Amino acid sequence: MKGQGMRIRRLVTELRLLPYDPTKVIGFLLCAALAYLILAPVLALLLDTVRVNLRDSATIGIPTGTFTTYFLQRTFLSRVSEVLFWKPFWQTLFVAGAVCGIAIPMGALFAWLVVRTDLPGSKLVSRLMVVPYMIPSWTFAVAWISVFKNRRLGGLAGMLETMGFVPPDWLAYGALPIIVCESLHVFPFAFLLFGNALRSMDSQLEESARVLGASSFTISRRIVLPLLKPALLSSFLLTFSRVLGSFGTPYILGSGVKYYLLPTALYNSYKVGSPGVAAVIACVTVLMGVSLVALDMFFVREYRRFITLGGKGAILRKSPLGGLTLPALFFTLIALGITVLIPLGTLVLTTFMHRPGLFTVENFTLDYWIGATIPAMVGQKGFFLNPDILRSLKNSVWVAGSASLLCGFLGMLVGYVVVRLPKSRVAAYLRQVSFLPYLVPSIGFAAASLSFFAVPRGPIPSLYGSMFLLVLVMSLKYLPFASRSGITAMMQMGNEPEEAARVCGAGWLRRMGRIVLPLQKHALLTGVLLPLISGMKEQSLVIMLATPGTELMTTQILRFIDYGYTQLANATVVGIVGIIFILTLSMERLTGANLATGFASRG
Amino acid sequence: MKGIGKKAHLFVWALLILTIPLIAGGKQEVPKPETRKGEIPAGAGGQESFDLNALIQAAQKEGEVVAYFTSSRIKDVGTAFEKKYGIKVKGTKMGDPEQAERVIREVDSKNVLVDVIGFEDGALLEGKLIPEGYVVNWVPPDIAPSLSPEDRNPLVFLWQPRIFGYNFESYKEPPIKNIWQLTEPAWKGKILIRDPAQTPANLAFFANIATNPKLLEEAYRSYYGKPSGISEKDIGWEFLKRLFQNELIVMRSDEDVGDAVGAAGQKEAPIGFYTLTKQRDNKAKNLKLATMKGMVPFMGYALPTYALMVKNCPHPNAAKLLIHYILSEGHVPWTARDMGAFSPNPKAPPHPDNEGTWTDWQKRLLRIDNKVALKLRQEVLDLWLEYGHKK
Repeated sequence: MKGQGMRIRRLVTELRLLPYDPTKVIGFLLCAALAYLILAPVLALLLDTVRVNLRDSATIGIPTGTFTTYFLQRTFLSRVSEVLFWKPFWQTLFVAGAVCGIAIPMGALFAWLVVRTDLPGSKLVSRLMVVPYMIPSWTFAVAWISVFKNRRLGGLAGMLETMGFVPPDWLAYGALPIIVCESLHVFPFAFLLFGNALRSMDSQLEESARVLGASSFTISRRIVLPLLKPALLSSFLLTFSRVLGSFGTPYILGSGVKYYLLPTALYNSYKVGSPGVAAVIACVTVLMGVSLVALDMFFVREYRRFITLGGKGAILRKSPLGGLTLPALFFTLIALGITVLIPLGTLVLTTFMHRPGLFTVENFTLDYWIGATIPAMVGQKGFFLNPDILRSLKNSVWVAGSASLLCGFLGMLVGYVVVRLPKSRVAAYLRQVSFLPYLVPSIGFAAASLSFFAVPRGPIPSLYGSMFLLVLVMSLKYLPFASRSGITAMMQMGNEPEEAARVCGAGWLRRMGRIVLPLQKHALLTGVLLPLISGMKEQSLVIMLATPGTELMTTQILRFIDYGYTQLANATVVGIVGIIFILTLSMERLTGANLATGFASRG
Repeated sequence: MKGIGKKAHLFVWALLILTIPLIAGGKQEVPKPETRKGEIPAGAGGQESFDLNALIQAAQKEGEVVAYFTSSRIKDVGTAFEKKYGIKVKGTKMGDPEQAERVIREVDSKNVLVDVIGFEDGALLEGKLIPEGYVVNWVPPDIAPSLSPEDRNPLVFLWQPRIFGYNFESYKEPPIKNIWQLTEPAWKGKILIRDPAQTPANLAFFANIATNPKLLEEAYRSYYGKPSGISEKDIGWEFLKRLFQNELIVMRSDEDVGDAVGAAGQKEAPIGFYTLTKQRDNKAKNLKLATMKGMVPFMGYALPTYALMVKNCPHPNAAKLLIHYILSEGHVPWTARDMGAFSPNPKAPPHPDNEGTWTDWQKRLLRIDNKVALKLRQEVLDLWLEYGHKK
């Protein structure tokens, strides 16, 4: 009885103190909001796999709303499951594996060249190596198709065909180009991870081994490889999950020859009008994403148990390349050319040509940039006058801008609550739920949000076709990064300034405005700018959500490609890449952060 | 730390359970039919109650109309419409599946953005969208008498032949004389078609082939000189299977097909299945397209484009005026001005290059039964997925 009285009194006190410390209330509100915005859509997606929706009911003759195993059977066990699911599934594994096989050795090799050898200009090289990751992944695919496209897709011919060489199908579309383009995009991951690992590896270990008479084979097998294993595994899993989540590249390069990966298979099922099957595939991608991250966490935990301790400071000795310096430099330059200059150069070049690949004076034009009319494209204008492009640019800026603000703010709030209520259930829950979107591949996350927010629910009206849906989904998808950085930033700020202010009688809002936010200015800026950059090049996440009024630049590119407006598509790509370069540079200026390190740290 | 983790899990589960009613409760109630303020009554077919001028005035008050059309000609229609009535047309070219998805989502969410759809998926229209009230069939009462009854429900505003065609520079005469030739090894990988999986009208065509065994048997006999020996029940499906196994090349649009088939300077050009209107590009793009004249038992099918109002659309009067506009004889040129496009309104003048009137064309084409299409579509799609994606 006495205990109960105490409890009530404590509750009263807490309520009285609420205006001064609303952390708990905010915590609970955040919990509820994230449950509704993140958990519920994913659950709704699960429900969609067993419940008939209207469009499916038209074709399969089961009333809307009935529970059924039809979609599961159709996806996994029917005579068409091979085409709908299994083939894309195995092809995804194959492509992801092949990309790992190319990107990881490539990244590791350059990391070694830059970190462990006296390669001239290694600082510059290491900055340039990150550029392929900075530019959107599908840039390579768009460049590839401009060069290698053949008659098969119809429309404007590719550069090579115009120049007289007709590329065979296997070179123009399908597995090979997808693997190459994805590898070019993701190898910087491996480069960064291996670079960090190599940098922290003590060369004295190798030297001692050599002194003790170990052969170089033994050294690499017993010392170097084990030390690099975490980097190897991490790049493997990261690469894998990138391939699982990327839509643009397989869409652009695979659709023409019916070569589908899981993201495109999902999109296709959705497009064809079987959202049920699409939901099943989306769930599979979610499962795969979850298991990849679980694996990654497991390995990270395993490897934390082994720490190399040395009495002396580690020494990073650079091995001289000697006679190999020139070839190595040459090789690096070629690699940089292939990964950065050639794709971007090709894209820029095509936008100045009526028929890309035909090098005659009269074939060059500025029409695709400033033309009020374009002879070959009825009703279209050049980049700077094109209403579709300008509108999509406005939308992109608006969506990515609002999403990054919302995301940065939410992340800070999560960080604040988690740090101020340590060891509470609220904190643990917030950590987990705010991380959940990371596990779900973009297109699956979009599918979940689309089916959940398309109808009005309680106080929230239907968000279908609204810009706000794009903003919301994008800010939730990037929340894992924002909340992680929010937590880290808040950790570094002690409780004392706030307590002092509270003693002086400052309310919560005042403390936030005058103390916390100013102190966290820097972190907040990074937390906003990073999602802004990602948002500008986001495609997988928004392809299912964008509608004719809410087309973003990235989805506009796909429309142009679908209609065969090659030059306009390429001009738009160039536009986005330009914006991203400017944003990235200004972020580095503003925050002093090096993008290379920003991308390398994750989770 | 361990204990907290467990509690956190319990907490997560509790929240999960709490969210279930939210998700399950997402279904909206069925809205009552209502006469909306300011909407001019339809005048259920009664000519006397229809006042075009009143409609025009009401439409002009609304100021704009939003349309999704399967064809890019909505742009030209829009320009002409705006010039005549001062009402802006926000027209977007969009395929059938996407249109259906949007209309369903918009109506369900009571946030209707679109007024008029120009739609080709008759099966979905008759099977779902009309009976479940997503779209409303409105026939302009003053035009209705001149339309043939089967064009009125749902309302067709455009007929097009979708046909097999070839490159006349590459072949001196139509290379396909009989539909069974399409299943021959000679044409393996040389037939281009817009992706059936994403083109409901093509699926409907295939479904209607399956239910026309007599025509197929006759064609078989005339080509091979002997009966097929395949049962009446199976011959249609057997034809489709053989056709799909012949490695059809899939493209994104009829335009792409027409461009690839008709490109000048090809030897042994592929043949293709596309709408006759693509032949209008022969001049502009220097294409060499010609129709498969005399093909047995048909050269293709009659593709209708329907025009319907979306339920509770924001600009109902402008929607009606637009539908009226695209059907009325004076303005039909905007929808049926090209060769290969026919207005259901017989008063509208046909294009001189059309190789005959619509009555002539109907004899060369299979007419789609939407009920058959609705019933068999999934089966046809599965057959296509199964055989059309094997290499």
